[in-house]
Amino acid sequence: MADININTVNKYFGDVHVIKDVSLDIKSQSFTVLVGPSGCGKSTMLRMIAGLEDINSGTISIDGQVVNDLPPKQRNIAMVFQSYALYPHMTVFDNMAFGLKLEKRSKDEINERVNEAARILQIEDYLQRKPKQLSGGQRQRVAIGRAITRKPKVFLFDEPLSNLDAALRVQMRVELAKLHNELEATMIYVTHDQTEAMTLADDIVVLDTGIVSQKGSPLELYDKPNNMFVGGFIGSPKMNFISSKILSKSSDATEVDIMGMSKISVSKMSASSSEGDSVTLGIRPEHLVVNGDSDGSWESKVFVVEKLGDVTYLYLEKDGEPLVAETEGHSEIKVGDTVKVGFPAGRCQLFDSSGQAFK
Amino acid sequence: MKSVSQLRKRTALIFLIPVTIVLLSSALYPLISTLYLSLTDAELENFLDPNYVGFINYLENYEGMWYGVLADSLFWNSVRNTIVFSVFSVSLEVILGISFALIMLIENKLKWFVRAAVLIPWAIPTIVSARMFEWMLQDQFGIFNYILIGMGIIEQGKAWTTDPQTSMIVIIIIDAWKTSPFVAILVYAGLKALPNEVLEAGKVDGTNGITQFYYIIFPLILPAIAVAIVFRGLDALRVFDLIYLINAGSKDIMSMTVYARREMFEYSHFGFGAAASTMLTLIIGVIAVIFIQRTRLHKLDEME
Repeated sequence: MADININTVNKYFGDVHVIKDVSLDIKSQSFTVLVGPSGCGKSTMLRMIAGLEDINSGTISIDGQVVNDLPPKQRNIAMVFQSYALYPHMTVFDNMAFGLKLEKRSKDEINERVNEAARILQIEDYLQRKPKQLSGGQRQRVAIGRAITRKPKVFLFDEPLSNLDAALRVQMRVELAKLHNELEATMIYVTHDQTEAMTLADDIVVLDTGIVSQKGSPLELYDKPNNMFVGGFIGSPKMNFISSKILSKSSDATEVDIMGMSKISVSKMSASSSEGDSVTLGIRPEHLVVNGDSDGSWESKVFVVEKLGDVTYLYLEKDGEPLVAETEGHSEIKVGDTVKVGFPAGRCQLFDSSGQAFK
Repeated sequence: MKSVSQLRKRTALIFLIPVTIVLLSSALYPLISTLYLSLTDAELENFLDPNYVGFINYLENYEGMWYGVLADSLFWNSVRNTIVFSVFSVSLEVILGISFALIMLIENKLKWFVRAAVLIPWAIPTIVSARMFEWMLQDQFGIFNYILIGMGIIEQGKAWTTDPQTSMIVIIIIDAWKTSPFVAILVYAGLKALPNEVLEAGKVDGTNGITQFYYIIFPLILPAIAVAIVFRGLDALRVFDLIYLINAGSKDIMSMTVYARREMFEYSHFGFGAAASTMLTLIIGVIAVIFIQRTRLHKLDEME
């Protein structure tokens, strides 16, 4: 099908350097999610692949062919926009048939393909309606249908679910995953929602101010973030970061202190680190052990308790260092209680002063 | 206790009073008094105390001959002129206006200059533009004839504004030159309001410049164009200044308004002129209603 190769691409908007020497290889038939905070350049990346935005330097190739100077229609791509971008004056059928009509396909073929797409997306009943008469979820389906009918090599999604309500978002997310399996197409998906990224992606690309911060499978990013940015971005609630110091180094582990209360030996190394360096210890709320035995521990008063039913989040603070810990849903812990929090060494990450992870 | 909706209605009525008074005094009163005048034999001598004469100013059979506005071939000639003028000038203005609006949309360093340049004809008073064109088209010294003679297209100067064959065309061109900017501004606003993502979706679907305009842009700016046509159409049907300034006496270009004015103020046939004015109002009203019905302009909100 279609591999996409992005090679040292740069993009400027006036003086603003939004994409900085980005290189990416996207495998055919994979589902790749570009994720990052607002302004990280993820939508710009997608628009450059689509051909809606010029590239200042570097190359983008689809299926081995450099497409830098090709208009969108010659790139064999389809795109689903955040605002759906349906043609307001056309019926659902005409919206989905428009691309085929421009390709001068026969009437029979157009009918067949539109009806096929409508069947997959369950919008057969709305084909003669105008977009204005549809709900947000239905419009979203039409927008996806418009992409499907053209049978492109590559599907591009620009935050397609962000205008839907929470329940519909979950439903459409599952449908998109199914669609990817059915169509066996290469899909590139932009979102700022890390849940969407984790659930949909074969590969996640985390972008940070125009740089690829890390690329990998969802679990790679979750377990082994390259840096503090990825560590903090993937996972909800966020990974806890605690300032710490290297107490000693051995051949395969680094010993750090936890708020001067206890110490812990983490089996991660960084060649450039030395004893006495300031480091940041990262650990996810779900990995902290509340009132139980663990490698190192920390005691604090509870300031806020959030009960979600399946889990409870405890908001703790000690000497200005905030910490969120997860515990079981029916926890008896109340605001004002003091809890002991344990740090399992195997779950701890270490980051040097520039935010790079210890390996 | 009054309900909130009752209070709201009352407030709305209070706010409507001033505009109602203004409309009644500025529109309804003149309309009714013109209507009344058209049913009298008012002339300069008896203007303050005219006699009621019924509909004879409109149509009267006197000793086997038909008289009145409706029997005057010059009146029907002016109706025909007005309609010809309106149809062709508005069509030309819409085509030019859309073209200008598309040019104004081009983003480059000259865009402010282009936008200002497009507006200039609209800003020039009609008296100035009419005189300007008159001089340019003048048969002996006009630059237009000078160029045509120089190019060998004609042998001697032509009086474009008074020649029966060309005067209507000249009027239409001057009007289009003058008012295309108005259409351009309306269409430009419509173009600016187009959702960018829809145009981009079109690009991904494979539109080029022409198909993009034909299938996406044009249908979406149609409401703006319809509004422009209604405004310009009603203006054109009431055209007076340009035609009066270029050639007030020529029956080749005489519009309904020029006809009515001549009857009233040159011949002092106030009753007869008022009848002509009433007919003018009726004709414009009927055309406007038909057009608005046909274009479903009053249902614009529901369309999309």
